[in-house]
Amino acid sequence: MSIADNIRIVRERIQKAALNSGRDPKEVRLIAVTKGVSIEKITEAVRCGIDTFGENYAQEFRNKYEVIEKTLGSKVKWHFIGRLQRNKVKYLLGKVELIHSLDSLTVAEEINKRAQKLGTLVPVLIEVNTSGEKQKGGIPLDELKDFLNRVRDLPSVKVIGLMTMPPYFDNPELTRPYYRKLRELRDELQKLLPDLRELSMGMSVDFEVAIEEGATMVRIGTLIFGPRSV
Amino acid sequence: MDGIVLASSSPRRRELLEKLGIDFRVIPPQIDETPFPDESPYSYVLRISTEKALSVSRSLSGNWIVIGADTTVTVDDEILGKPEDKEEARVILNKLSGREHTVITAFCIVRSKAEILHKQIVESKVRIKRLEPWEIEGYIKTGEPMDKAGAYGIQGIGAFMIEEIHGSYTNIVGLPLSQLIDVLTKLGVLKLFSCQDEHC
Repeated sequence: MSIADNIRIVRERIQKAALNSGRDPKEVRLIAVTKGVSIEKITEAVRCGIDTFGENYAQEFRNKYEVIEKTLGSKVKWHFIGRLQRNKVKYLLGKVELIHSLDSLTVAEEINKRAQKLGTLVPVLIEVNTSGEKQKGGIPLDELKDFLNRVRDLPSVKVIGLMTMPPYFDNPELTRPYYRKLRELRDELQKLLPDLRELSMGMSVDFEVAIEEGATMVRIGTLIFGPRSV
Repeated sequence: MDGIVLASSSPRRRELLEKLGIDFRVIPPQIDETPFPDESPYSYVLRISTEKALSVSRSLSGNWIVIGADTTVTVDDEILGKPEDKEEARVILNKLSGREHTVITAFCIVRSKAEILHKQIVESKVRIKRLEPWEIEGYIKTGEPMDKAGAYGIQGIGAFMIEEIHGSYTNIVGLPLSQLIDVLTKLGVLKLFSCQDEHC
């Protein structure tokens, strides 16, 4: 199947999942994940109406950004969704619309420092480790409030939501408790911080469950571009 | 549970539920149905169906299951509600002529008082034939367009203009029965048929 067909089917499934759970489909934003995806395929996806792409690696992002900025610049927004190291922050600022994966104070401080120099405000999501798996990134549940307060002290970083990566299951239904947990955290935090509204959760295997639980951004790669070797 | 309440003043919704032989009461809700500026059709029907169910549930004492529903017609993200006069009916019917539009119904199920159990939207596509000016005028004269979202009734004289539909028919009338019954059954509120063989 072509990328165009894949995108149409994904959009229909997003629409259906939103309607079935009593949500306006416009509340759900599709982020096409382009880890290991060629420039040609990204260009094709733009032709099919995709306007936001998610990258996992700063170096890979840098290479693609340079090429695509010249050809499609204004049509495309980039999100950074991978593990972020302090020394890679400089490659992202001014180029990405949103960082989904903030989980370290040193990185937050680096973003703040560079953003101040640029005179910009950088929106971020805090990645939360909802499963407690040690090898996973993200802030542990019991440290979230403390971490959030420290990031809020940084004037050029703005937390606008939360992100999570649940454990992998063959049965998507089993991811539901993790997504529900993230939404409950968001609802609680939003009482004090009305701008903290985004929930980045759900990937190719389980985005419908995530939408039913309130996702406002789904990160989909495989269903659009096919499996990759990276 | 004391029973099911349909929070609706639409005779069409009442008739749909009656046909299934379900026991229920009807209480018309009193709410302001004006859309917010820039409100999307989906957000609008969700909000109105929820307000209908909540407002009726608050007026009840006892343990009731209240169903609120709202239907709208939309083309190009515009809400085409009930026309206020003949001129507006004419404008809406001209917009629908010769093309496909979407009918969306949201339903909200609330347990009294004010506990939301479920919300869902169902959409159907309807293709209307190209309407001649005299057909529009004649149809408006029947009076049928006036109290209906999108200025037509598929179950009435309006059937003359329906070329094709895709999706639930009862959803276009005003209540997506299959989806609604499914949810009521899952919630344990209703059992349309009881199972008496080994499949139970």
